[in-house]
Amino acid sequence: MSWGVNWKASVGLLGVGIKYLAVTMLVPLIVALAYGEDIWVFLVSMALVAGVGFAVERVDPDPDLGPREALLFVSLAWLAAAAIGTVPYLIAGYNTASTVGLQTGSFGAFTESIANALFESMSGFTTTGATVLGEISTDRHSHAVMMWRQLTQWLGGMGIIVLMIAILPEVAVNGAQLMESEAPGPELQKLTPKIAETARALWLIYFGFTVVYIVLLYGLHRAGMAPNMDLYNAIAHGFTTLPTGGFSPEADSVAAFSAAVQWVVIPFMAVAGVNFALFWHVLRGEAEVMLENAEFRAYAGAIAVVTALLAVLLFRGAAPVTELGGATQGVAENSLRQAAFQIVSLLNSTGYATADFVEWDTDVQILLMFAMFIGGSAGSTGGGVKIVRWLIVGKAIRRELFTSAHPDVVQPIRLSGSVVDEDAIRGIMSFTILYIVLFGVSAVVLSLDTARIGIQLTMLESTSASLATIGNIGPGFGRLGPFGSYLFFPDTSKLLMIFLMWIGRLEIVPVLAVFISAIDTR
Amino acid sequence: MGTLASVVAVGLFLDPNTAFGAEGTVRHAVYNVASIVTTTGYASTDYVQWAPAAKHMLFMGMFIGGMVGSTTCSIKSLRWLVALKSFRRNPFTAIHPEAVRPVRISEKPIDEDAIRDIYAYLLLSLVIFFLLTVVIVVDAERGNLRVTEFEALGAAATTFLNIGPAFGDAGPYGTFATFPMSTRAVMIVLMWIGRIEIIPVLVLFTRAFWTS
Repeated sequence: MSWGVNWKASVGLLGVGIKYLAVTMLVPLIVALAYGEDIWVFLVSMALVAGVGFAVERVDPDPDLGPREALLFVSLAWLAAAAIGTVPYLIAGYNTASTVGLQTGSFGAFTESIANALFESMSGFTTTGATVLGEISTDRHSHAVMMWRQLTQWLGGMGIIVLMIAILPEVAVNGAQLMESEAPGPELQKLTPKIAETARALWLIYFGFTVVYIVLLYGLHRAGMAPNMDLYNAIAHGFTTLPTGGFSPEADSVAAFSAAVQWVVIPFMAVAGVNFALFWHVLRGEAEVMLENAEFRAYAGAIAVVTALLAVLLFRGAAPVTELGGATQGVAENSLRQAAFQIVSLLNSTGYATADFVEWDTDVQILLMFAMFIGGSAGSTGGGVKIVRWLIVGKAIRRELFTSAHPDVVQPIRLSGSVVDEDAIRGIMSFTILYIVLFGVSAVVLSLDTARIGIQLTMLESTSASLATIGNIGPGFGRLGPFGSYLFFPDTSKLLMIFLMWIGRLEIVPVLAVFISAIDTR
Repeated sequence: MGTLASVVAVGLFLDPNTAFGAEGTVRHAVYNVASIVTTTGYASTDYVQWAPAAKHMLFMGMFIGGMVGSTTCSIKSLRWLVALKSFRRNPFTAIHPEAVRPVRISEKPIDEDAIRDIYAYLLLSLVIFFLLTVVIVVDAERGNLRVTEFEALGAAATTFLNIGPAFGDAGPYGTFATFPMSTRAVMIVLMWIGRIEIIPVLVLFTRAFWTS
């Protein structure tokens, strides 16, 4: 049997990436040294991963990618990253009470520990932020393992492929095609003639924001305005805010920190949902490109409107007094802060929380779920459907109404003044429908599958589990709230959610292409 | 549709409280799913009592609808079929950008404009459905009526898609009378829009329709 795809080329290139993932484990290794923790976990992991990398690389030492191989490579790279990411979890928690550590007691415990570790790792790299860790604290898990968990989100945020294009010349050869498949949003803006330079520019902007953010957080700590935000927490949150990740080494998420910290986190979360190419224009002194961008305006507008609505509802008493988050009824500052924080966090798919919003009123929760559907901007690190798609869908529907009254008129759709290609419009509409269909079907499957083991999910739980994983958001409602856990799901449901996170991050098409061209090779 | 009914049967078996026996389970599952999917609205038992998983399955069934040219409402199977076939084409065109591959139904190629219309229709109905849910929840909250999110979703789907019964108070043996009058007024408009397939009504609200 001959394969239509030169899979060896894709797999060979994968080896190069895996090798470099071993290098990133230096960060948790340094943390382990600093805290005097077991460094063998990461030394063994690095050796293991590097060994796998070198072995896989030998499948095809001189890979040459066509369009299909590129799609296969992108899909496999994210799966491989998630698999590699499990290694430190499995080794560090080997036969301990850790839910993500390798258990060899029985076959059932073994498969469950693998599924848990893969869930946590996929949730990390895809910047989802849903967790099965059980007890989240640096007492239970070492500082180093918790930092690795944060780091996976930072690596996944701007995209592992974009990073590879930026630093590895052998990947940059096919850079444009690869970046197209990985970058969030319908189209790729090439900033410079050389794709590797574009990738480098995007990663530098991302890196710059992260550094500024960490300095600000730690500065607040030194100024005495943030007692819990020590250097460890500043770096840990720096790793998960800009990639719209949502993991936190604190069980109480950002609710563990002072109001001053929360006000600093809000703008940086908002920045993470903006197209990073726009910052590149701003840095070159072309600020008007950003201000005139239709998607940026819609993003800012959506945040402002939904936040205002929520703040009013909270001020009028839509939330009970909760232990985390405090009273909002009649308290203007807290209402505005809770509203802005939760909306920005859920709208662009970060997933931090400063209040247990599952205890808020039903209408407020529906409003939060509405925000979850919106998503970040194209070219940002956010997940979800993306603002630009909704803009184009809205315009296409308006045109549909217009042409049903005037059938002979040809009316192109414009965005920020330029005409959008009809093929692109069709692609965007079919993506949006496919996204909703996959979300709906998965919600029912999750509901049936958990009922199989005797746990009945409410509608809000099953839909939010599906939405939070395919949209790479993280927390859902009910038992899946920001301080809850996905641990109780059966292994099969966890596998489905791992799949959803994977295709959600790559925006469905690359993964489906791999499956479908496996069926009809022509 | 047959597969869907069987899944409800599976869902029913999961619930210890509904002991219909094998024949009863299959009969109730097929009857109620057929009734919901074809937007008939009859019920052979009070499915509000079923296990949540089975109800979720029924809720999904609401969106399918019967065939074009039948007396059913909802979204219609043909639209889903065309949409699914064109999804299958997407990855193909991602690999072969120059290839032209028409979508075929019963051997006949479908016009690209028609596909675009279908996409727009699907998205429009899903968006309207979701907005209606938000309106129902917020309005009910204002009228001090506690609806769960599932009841709200069900009520929105059943009126907009012209099915009939929903879940909770508005179940097959229940009534919509508990909803505030303003909510019911919105539902009336949505039943109207849903029955004549959205576009004819919405067109009336565009300026382009009234100007030459």
